[in-house]
Amino acid sequence: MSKEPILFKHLAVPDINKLGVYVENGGYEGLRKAVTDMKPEDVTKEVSDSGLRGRGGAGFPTGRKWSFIPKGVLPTYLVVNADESEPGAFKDRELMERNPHQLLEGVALSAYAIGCRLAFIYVRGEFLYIQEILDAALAEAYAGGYLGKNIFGSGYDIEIVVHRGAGAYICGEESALLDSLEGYRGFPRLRPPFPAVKGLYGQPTVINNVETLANVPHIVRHGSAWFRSYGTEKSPGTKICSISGPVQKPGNYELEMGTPFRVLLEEKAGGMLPGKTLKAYIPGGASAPMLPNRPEFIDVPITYEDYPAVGSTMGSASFILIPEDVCIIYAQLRISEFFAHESCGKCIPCREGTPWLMKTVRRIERGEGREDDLPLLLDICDNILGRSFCALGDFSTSNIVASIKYFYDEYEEHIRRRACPHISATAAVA
Amino acid sequence: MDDLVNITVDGLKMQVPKGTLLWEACQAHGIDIPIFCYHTKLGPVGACRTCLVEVEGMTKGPITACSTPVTDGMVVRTRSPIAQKAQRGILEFLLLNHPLDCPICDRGGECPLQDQTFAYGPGSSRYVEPKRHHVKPIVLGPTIALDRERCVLCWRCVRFTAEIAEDKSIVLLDRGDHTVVGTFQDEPYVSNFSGNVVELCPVGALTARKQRFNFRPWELQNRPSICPHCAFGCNINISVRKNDEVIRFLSRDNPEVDDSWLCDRGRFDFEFINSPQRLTAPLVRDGDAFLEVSWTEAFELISNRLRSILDESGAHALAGIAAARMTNEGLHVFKRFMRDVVGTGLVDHTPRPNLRLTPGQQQAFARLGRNLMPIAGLDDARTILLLGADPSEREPVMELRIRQAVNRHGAQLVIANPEEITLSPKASHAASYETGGLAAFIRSLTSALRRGPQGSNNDDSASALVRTYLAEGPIAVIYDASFPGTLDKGDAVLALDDFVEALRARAAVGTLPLLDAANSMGARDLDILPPDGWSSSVIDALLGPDSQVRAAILAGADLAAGAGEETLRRLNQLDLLVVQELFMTETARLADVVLPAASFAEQIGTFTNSERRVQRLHEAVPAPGVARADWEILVDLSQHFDNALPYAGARQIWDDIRRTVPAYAPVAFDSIGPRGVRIEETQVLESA
Amino acid sequence: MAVLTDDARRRIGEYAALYPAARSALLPALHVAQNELGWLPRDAMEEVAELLGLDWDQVEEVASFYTMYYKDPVGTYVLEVCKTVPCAYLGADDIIDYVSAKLGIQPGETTADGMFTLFRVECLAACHRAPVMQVNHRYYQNLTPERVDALIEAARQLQLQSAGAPGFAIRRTWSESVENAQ
Ligand SMILES: Cc1cc2nc3c(=O)[nH]c(=O)nc-3n(C[C@H](O)[C@H](O)[C@H](O)COP(=O)(O)O)c2cc1C
Ligand code: SF4
Ligand code: FES
Repeated sequence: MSKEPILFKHLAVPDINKLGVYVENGGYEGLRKAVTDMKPEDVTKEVSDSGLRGRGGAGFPTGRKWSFIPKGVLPTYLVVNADESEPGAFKDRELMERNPHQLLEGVALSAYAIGCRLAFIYVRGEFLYIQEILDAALAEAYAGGYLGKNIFGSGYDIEIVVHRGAGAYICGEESALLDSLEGYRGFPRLRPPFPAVKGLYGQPTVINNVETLANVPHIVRHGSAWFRSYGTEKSPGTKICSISGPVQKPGNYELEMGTPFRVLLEEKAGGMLPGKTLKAYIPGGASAPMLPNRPEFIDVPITYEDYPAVGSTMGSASFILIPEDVCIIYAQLRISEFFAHESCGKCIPCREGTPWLMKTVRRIERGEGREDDLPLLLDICDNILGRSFCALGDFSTSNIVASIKYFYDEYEEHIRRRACPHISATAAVA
Repeated sequence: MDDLVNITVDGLKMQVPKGTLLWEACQAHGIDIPIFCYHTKLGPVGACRTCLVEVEGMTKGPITACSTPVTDGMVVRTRSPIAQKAQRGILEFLLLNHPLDCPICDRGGECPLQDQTFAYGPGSSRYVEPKRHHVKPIVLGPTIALDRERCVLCWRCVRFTAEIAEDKSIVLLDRGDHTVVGTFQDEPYVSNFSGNVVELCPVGALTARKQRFNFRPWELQNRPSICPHCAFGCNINISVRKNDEVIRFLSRDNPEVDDSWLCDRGRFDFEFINSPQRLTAPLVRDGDAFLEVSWTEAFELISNRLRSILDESGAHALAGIAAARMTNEGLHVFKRFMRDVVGTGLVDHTPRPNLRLTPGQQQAFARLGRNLMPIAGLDDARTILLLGADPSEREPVMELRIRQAVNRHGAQLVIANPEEITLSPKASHAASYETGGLAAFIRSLTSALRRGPQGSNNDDSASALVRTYLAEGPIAVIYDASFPGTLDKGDAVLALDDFVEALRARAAVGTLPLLDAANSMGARDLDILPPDGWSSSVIDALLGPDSQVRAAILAGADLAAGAGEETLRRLNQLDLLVVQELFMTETARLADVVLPAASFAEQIGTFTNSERRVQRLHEAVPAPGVARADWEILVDLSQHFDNALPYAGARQIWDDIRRTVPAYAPVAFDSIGPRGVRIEETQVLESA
Repeated sequence: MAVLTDDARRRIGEYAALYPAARSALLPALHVAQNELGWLPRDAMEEVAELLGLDWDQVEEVASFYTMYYKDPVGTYVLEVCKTVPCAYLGADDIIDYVSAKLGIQPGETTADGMFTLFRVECLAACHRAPVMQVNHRYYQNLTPERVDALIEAARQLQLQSAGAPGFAIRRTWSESVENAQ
């Protein structure tokens, strides 16, 4: 990135996870400025003006979401979505692991904006060590007076509780997350009422992704105009992109929005491993439709608007690369297994449809496919898409449709030859 | 009604109240949309997705009619290609793992899944994977069995136990397509309301263990009636096979009363109707045995003996006691027979509160019995005060109404009872008093009330209760009209009456008594009581040591059941004991003449429930043998006396009731519709 | 029957106090209970219910929804290998086969000595360090057969050293030392 990174700027600073070091590097300045100098509405306005959009996947304008909180209905809650369970995504983990205070400051600022005094960070169950890191950072911040009662003498109190899930992708869906946080099965809730009106414990609630909130201290410190100097008109700012698969340097890279995927792949990740060629990639985690290796798909600028234009979605910008020597049906099977495993079971199309998709793909992969399996798969997708209670059902269809669209021949060959034409799917191991 | 919106469904324009759920609006206009998870009484969850319809302008695909409120100008298509494709798709998903065992399923014939499958043709042929298998059926508890393969996971049962009965025992376990309904570690599902989950289950997954495989739904006809088991008066349908066998009771939603729920006692206790032990012919004592005789023979015997006893000893030698489970018509004719045909005032009913009231206390009791609040009014109450009353024991479905008032309408529940009752955990406040101390407790509340705002600043518990819960109405006061555990019941009556008066001075108050039997209210209103009302008991007069009574007619009054030797001796001593009964009860065994009576399910008539709602009984099945309705028996018997009773049917009797009981006057027999008629709505009862 | 230590009960109480509604502490409480007992037997669910003022049914309803709670006994060390894309084709399948062969158990099974349980699990948010697994919910990444050998050896050693100590102590000691070793 030609400009300075925003979120990863301090990654190189040793011990940035320590309160002192964070503060030396300008940490908690935004929070101090907000609670002593700004009204909550001003913070919301700054964030609205910045054009910051939700980094959890849907890209909803963050300031707008905050403005839905009704005035005068107390208490309000801020809930941080740190469930990060989408296959291919591991960015929030790094943000929290390496620079916990950046998130905590963002949480406190955002809480201030919506009048919340008790915020929750919902981390996925497997993030045990992340919980420990956040709890340690919290303890430091409380002790230092940066969080807790009457911060910076402003009269504003903010407490943050780190809550750990227990293994359920659906709890990343914001309303299921709330049910889970209240101690229930993670079932998505009927809307309306929307969380902004009736969320956690029936109170007005904002749910935001980790990365979304990590941006807020920077926006408050440097202003919305500065933030808008990054990225595009519709997708301002930077994006942490997770890239995984057989590349030289898999990992997280902060890119200015609008950077073409090619830069991520070739410059940042160093290109494919020797001997590997790219067959297809998934731009936004397992729920985003895959794209084959064609120049027009490799040169897509990474923004909320450009991926839909080519029939996919940027989602959480979690790029999964599938190399030439991996059977696409095998990859699809693992994706379909994931959704079947993670369906919460509340609604019929997803509960019954995702295992059906999975079993059908598995049959094809094993060489037991039938001629009419492909139209069948597409029709099952059709019967799930837009019919399921929440988007998980929809997500389960996107790669089936895309893989059949782009790799029809591979499916057909499996069915025709009654076997997988690849020597062995796992021969792809690097 | 000013908030109406216009919508168009399948080309039909309709006006419906704003915010109505689309499914409800369609239903009200005869447009059927399939549902599984939705249930009017449980509210929307939008989980099953069977009710998908097309709405003009929709962006994310079809929407669920069950969870979408109507908005003005909405244009909906329930049968369009898009809607049908969506509905069929869901149906296909549902059938993937569903066994095709309709021919042996208890729900076969009344199953929406089967109906839809017929309508659309079996959709599962595209599914070539093995079906999901479960052990079938498993015993869920003493009353209920579960067939998990048939379950469509609508979680109605789960929601019922969690939200309505709040015994929370049925839950969802595991997730995704492994989800099953079950109980904690396979503990038995034990509930007083378990039968409701069978009715809620849209398919044949939950069944009543008593009824499994006993019947095919299409053999049954449903006939409306009223549950005979308590004074709450839940509405039921009696499912009848081949016109003469009662197979089950189903709920028949009356939002004013039961709101579609039944308790297990009411639902499952019906086999007595079909019992082969029922009396089928009049019997006359012959030494230690009984001889079957004709009605005429029986009546002649009774009338001859009765006449000679009355001639010898006068009218006070005869006493009559009727069961409060008899219809109003039966009770009215009973009273007429005793007072007008044979001329005795010694009538009473059973079971009844064992009260001995002074005139002053009687007036207080009568006041308390007037101006009852409607059951449905519990939903409007700010505070519901249970004074020494346990609805769960006496009128169980009232428990569900109280839970609903608390959960959905924000009522506060205050319980005053010497012991924990089922509802105690639900209470905002629980007050205890010593057993026997009801009157004193009530008086402490009354004095706190009377001390007014300043006085109630006292920090005693009564003042606190009054301050916190009784400062504002509407307040529903529920009491047990038997005043159980209270030694001086007359004193409690006075205290309660005084309390209600003091409360009325401050806030809107409604009272509801808990009563003993299905038609206890009718028995009171029709004055089936001794001449001096509640100050004595004819049962005592009959069984007492210096009883003058020589002859008795006991209509359904099983005085001997569980009674001591003295009672048996007294009954044995009678010169004439006539018993009208369903069964050869212990009392019947002592009788000289036993007359076979029809049960509630075998006659036309009315019951009056504890909120004073008159509800209709219909003849669902014929009475066994020559058994007849109680009133018919007495009308026929009266033909053997000078002042024969003129009634030819229940309607005529009702008209006579209207003439003699002013409160009932405005209610024409045919105006008593499926939801009954509440007397209090038509006229304040002055004569009780 | 009480099966949790006083310390666990105290910690559950602390969790309950963190939230506006005690029920919110259900997931943390189940973590605490499982940490002590290794899995969630009936008694533990009952005790958690009692501590949080819930009905026992509600506890199992919730516990059975989440995959990290073990409804059946597991080994002292639970090896959970990610099998989702991209781990799947970056060596996870081989690692699973390797562990399976080495320990003589299929995924879902526990070794006869009660030491190890192997599970295949969905994405662990460590795709860039594939193949990856969690052992007792701690990350072990960039796995190779040699690394797996070392982990298992370390586990066995620690198990021997601390024989007789309560399960949780073993787990912690082991996790920490192996983590530091990586
Ligand atoms: C099935 C499903 C899983 C999701 N998982 C996550 C997740 O792990 N993390 C996340 O931030 N958002 C996730 N989301 C999106 C959230 O529902 C929600 O949109 C997001 O937390 C909003 O935050 P944002 O506006 O800051 O992006 C998921 C959505 C769905 C439907
Ligand atoms: S689509 Fe349906 S079953 Fe799937 S996760 Fe959402 S609500 Fe649950
Ligand atoms: S009836 Fe509408 S979703 Fe189930």
